[in-house]
Amino acid sequence: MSNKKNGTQSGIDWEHGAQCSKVICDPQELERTIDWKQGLAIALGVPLLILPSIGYLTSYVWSFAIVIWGATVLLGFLQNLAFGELATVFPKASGLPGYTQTVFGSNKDKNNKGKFKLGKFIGGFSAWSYWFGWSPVLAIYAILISSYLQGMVPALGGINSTLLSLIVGGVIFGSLSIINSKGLKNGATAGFILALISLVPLLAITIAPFFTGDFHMANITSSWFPTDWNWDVKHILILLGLFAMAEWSAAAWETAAIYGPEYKKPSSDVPKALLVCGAICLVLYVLVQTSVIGALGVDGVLAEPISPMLPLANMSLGPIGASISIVMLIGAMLLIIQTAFLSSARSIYSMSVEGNLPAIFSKLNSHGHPSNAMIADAFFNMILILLGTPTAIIAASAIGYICANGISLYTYVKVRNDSEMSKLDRPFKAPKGWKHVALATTFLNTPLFLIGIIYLNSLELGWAATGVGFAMLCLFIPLWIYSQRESRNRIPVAHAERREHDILHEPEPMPLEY
Amino acid sequence: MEIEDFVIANLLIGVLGSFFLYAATNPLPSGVHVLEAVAIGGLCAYVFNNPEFF
Repeated sequence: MSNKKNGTQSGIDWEHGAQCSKVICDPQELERTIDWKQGLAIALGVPLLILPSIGYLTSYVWSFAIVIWGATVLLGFLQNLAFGELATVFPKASGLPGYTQTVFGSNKDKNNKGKFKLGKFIGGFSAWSYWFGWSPVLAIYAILISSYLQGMVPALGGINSTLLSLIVGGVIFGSLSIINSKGLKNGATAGFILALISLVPLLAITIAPFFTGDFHMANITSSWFPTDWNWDVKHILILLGLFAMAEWSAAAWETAAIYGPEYKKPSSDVPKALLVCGAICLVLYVLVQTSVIGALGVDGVLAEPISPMLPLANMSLGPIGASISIVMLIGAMLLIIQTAFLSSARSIYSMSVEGNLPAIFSKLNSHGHPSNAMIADAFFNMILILLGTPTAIIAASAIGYICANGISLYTYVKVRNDSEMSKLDRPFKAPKGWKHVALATTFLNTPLFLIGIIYLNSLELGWAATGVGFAMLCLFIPLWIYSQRESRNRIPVAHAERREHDILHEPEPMPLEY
Repeated sequence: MEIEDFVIANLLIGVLGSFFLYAATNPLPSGVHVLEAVAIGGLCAYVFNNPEFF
């Protein structure tokens, strides 16, 4: 942005063009084009992440699922206040992956001296885990959309489901790539439209049972826990695993911070987008689960565990309501794909900029959009679709998300402990003593939730899902070694100095008005 | 102890802890308890004697 401030509109420093190399002079920063409402519009896909997990949580803890959703969103507030502060300390960093890489990857850190840079590795691994937590959402929901289409359109019933998923995935990923390649502003508009067509019907279906008389409080109060539930080690581990699964959905509104480098006024836009999105999530997550169990009862939910919104719509709004709800669900899934697509592509871009993934992914198009990262993300998900089963993919990616959350909270503690970074300007500051709250939530994520999710996965799906998760996380090691070698070979000193200068020392330029 | 050490330690506790707890509450695939006890015990002994392994 500093180039623009100096008067050049192309993002290229023509004044010093002769002296600098291509790597330094190419546009390397995302454009600041959105305000907090547009960031919120993109992140509004998060409330819809409850849909595939309503039946899953109910099957384990019946009505107590309502408490789990509410508690997880509140846990999200504890965590995201810390992330909101980090967003204002490092306004150029892309959300959680950006903060961890910036803080742990600093060349001044003594852990980054020598051949093996431990801090840089941890920062990169956290970003990779975050990407692996978000990216599979694309494949999962492409598979689900094709499955809903097959159920809705009889003519599609004869087509091979994997082939249909690939076609659906290709069309959706291709369309969103084109829309988003024009810049995040277009992505925000698409997100806003999708949010309207999916959230409004979701709200209508959720609230309707309260007015039609279909909602019965006794359905909730008479079945808090399964009859064979015990508070032994096994069930506490299951509960921890369920919290981890819930966090993958209900605390995912941190994604509003990932557009940090693209907000016009990051220091005020990021906290606003985060807090408003959190408030919406708190209401919707609790309301949806309460309405579903209150109207259908636990047995009714368990009879339709994948899509309990369908019988709810049928009951409250009639057959037309059911048809609307299918269309609504497909719209909702498109919105989730859009949210995840933008988040995961920016994670790849952020890793590449920091030298933790090959440099090719940090290339921006003329609209300042990380198009290579997005294409790579789409390609990866097309391969995931070939696996055909979304359940194992969700279970594996939740492991990555928990690791990313835990390490990101450690990042906050490190920033508050560090003598230099703790003095950096922070327009938004979490309440006093939040370092201890962040530390407590860190321990909750790693190791407690991590233990729980691995345990739950192995119990529910066998060791295959856990194995896939570990294999994907470990894939980072060879990629990181290659990228480190690549980074060393391309003007190492200039790159390192520029990065340090940009993030830690240069005063943040004033927000630009467009 | 630095934050980096905490991160590594917590991740390892998470992974190894879940393995142990699963083994403690469920039968492992082999079904031969002595074999599992020796394998897990051996792994523990090795890790604690070679902390630099990680």
